[in-house]
Amino acid sequence: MTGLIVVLVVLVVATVFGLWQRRNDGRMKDVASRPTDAPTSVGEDAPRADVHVATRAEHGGEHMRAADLGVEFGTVATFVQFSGPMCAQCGPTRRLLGDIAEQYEGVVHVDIDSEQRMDLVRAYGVMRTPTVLILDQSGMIVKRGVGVPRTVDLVATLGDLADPGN
Amino acid sequence: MTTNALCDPQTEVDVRGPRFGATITTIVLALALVTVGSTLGLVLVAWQTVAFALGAFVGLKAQPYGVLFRAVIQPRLAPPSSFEAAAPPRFAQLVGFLFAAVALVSLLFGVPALATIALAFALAAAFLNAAFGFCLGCQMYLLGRRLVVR
Repeated sequence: MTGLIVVLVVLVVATVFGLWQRRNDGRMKDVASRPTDAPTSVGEDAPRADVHVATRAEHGGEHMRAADLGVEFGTVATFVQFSGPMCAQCGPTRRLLGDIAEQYEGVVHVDIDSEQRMDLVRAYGVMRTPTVLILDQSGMIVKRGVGVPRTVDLVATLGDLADPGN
Repeated sequence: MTTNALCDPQTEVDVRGPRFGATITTIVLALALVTVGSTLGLVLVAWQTVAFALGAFVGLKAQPYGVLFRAVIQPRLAPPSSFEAAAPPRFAQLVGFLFAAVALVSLLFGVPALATIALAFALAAAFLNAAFGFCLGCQMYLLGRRLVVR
């Protein structure tokens, strides 16, 4: 009897988790506009934030350094993919991002072997593979997602980055 | 453009194979959980432990459900259209083996409660794989590496 209850509970919990995971898989979420980060990043100089011209740093945005990635950033966007050996979705992600980088002018795709770059994995809080970061032309992380990215999200982000006024 | 050793077709498998295996594994583990404490339960856990061990230590080609898939199921299906690297499902077999082995040892030493817990985790992982194609062990891999590698 206990066994049967355990089976049912496991199946229900796993189904809820699976549906939640499916909903989030491949979604590219905003990471740039985190207003709560602004005061902490400015620290003791907080009052000065008021008089600053709006700069990207004030969004609390996190930057990557081109030197860390060993590439030059794309003039529109850079896709940074964290891959690993136990990753069924890394291949499809690599093909998708590679194709888009070839089609769109100014878009660069970097595929990082997590095993070789544990420094970056830790620095950017990567927990699972494939994790994809989209950087703007300055290297600021604007989007982040886990799983094969949704093409609509990618195209929409590239549109925003190519034409920020829109 | 981007080349990678992980994409070598030699090491790739029909995605439907591991998915089929996960479905059989889910059924076996669910039956084992329901029959914990009985001889049938012990036999089921022992069998699944051996199946996981073959998949993990010998290879997916030796995994009994993989053998069944290629011999009986695959010939009746359309030709494979989608492939995946063999390393992740093989790693999943290793994770499954660890949980099944804990369950087996627990049963042999008369601790069915611990066996039930271990089987519950294994069932969750197998079901997620079968129903959603989600490899729990693979998703935990990088976290594990982060703990191990300085």
